[in-house]
Amino acid sequence: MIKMLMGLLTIAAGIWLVLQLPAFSAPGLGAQVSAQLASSGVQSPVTAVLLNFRALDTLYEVAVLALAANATLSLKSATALPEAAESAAMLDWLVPRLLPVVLLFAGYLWWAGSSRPGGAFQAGTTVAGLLLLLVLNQRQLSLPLDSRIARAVAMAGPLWFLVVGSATALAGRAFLDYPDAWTKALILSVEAFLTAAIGVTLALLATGGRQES
Amino acid sequence: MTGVEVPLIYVVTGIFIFMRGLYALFARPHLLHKLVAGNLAASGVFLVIAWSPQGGPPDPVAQALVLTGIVVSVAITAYAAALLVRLEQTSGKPYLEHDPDK
Amino acid sequence: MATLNIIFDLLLAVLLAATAWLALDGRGLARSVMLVLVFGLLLSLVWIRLGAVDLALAEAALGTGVTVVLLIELLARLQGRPRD
Repeated sequence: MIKMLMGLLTIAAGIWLVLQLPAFSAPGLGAQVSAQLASSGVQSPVTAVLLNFRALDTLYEVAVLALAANATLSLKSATALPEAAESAAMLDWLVPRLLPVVLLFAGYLWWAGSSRPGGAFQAGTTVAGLLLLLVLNQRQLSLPLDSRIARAVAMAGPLWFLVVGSATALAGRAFLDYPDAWTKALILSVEAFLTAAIGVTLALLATGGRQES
Repeated sequence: MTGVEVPLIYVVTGIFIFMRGLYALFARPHLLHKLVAGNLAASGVFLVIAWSPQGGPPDPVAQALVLTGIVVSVAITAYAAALLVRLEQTSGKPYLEHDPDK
Repeated sequence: MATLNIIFDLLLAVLLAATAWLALDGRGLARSVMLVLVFGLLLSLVWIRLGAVDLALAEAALGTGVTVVLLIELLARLQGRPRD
């Protein structure tokens, strides 16, 4: 009974929302972005928004990611991952050969972010995938994702972002308002730190944090 | 980067998916189902955000918003998954108490 | 070309909606998780169709890859524990 009422209510709300669509006519910000793109230090409009025009939002975003990782770690809920099968011959063969290729691809995505689709989040996820492969293949390399070093890398992304922002603020500019000559270098440095940090953070989140031995 | 105009059908689909997710979020007792419902509802919202009302390709600001949304979704999902495991460990039940269906 | 595009849009939208519907019908947890995987891949196709390659990459890697890894692991942890 209640479920039927809820169903009807959501159907009605959905129809109402569709009917409201023509009322949305506010122009987007696309024109402003393309007008200012030349001063953003990068050629990709999405990267320009993420790391220059609305860089503060991206700082908050990686802060959310770091917060989620810390909260997950503090729950200590992770039990050890289910035991891997006896033989993982394919992983043994594949992982060492895949490692340089995936690293190269992550590097490409990081560099490409300034001029075409790509960037820290895509590159970071690639790194996370690589780390997860290594975790699945612990017989070759033990990779303590909850170690101090891993956690330091995970925090270095948002921290470096914060350092850059504070430096511009101390230099008399607005927070995260990069000086013109340094814009591209600063954006790329922030993205490099973020790539490593997002990679470790996502791998940490995906394994549930602590691995009890 | 050039894109194409967002056909209205994707926006309507987005609203449909959001509503379906919202309904399931309340109607499904199992918390994993609720987690999936929240994720899919968020995807529906992304489809609506990407739409530009005057036509034209997805706005770069909207794309940045959706990108942020995807990352935050993943962070929330991971934290919720950890909470769910914890709840199951302490209460033995992967769903909430006082469920009208139970 | 235009008709072909419309047919493709319709097909993709219907598939997306149907996958979301089935994923949330509450019949089995593993079924839901697998359909989320399908849904995410379809959604990245939509982003490519719209020319938003950044979003397609992020959706495929984060929205689908990482999310489904999380969900499968959650599934294994929920079902793998011995009941008492």
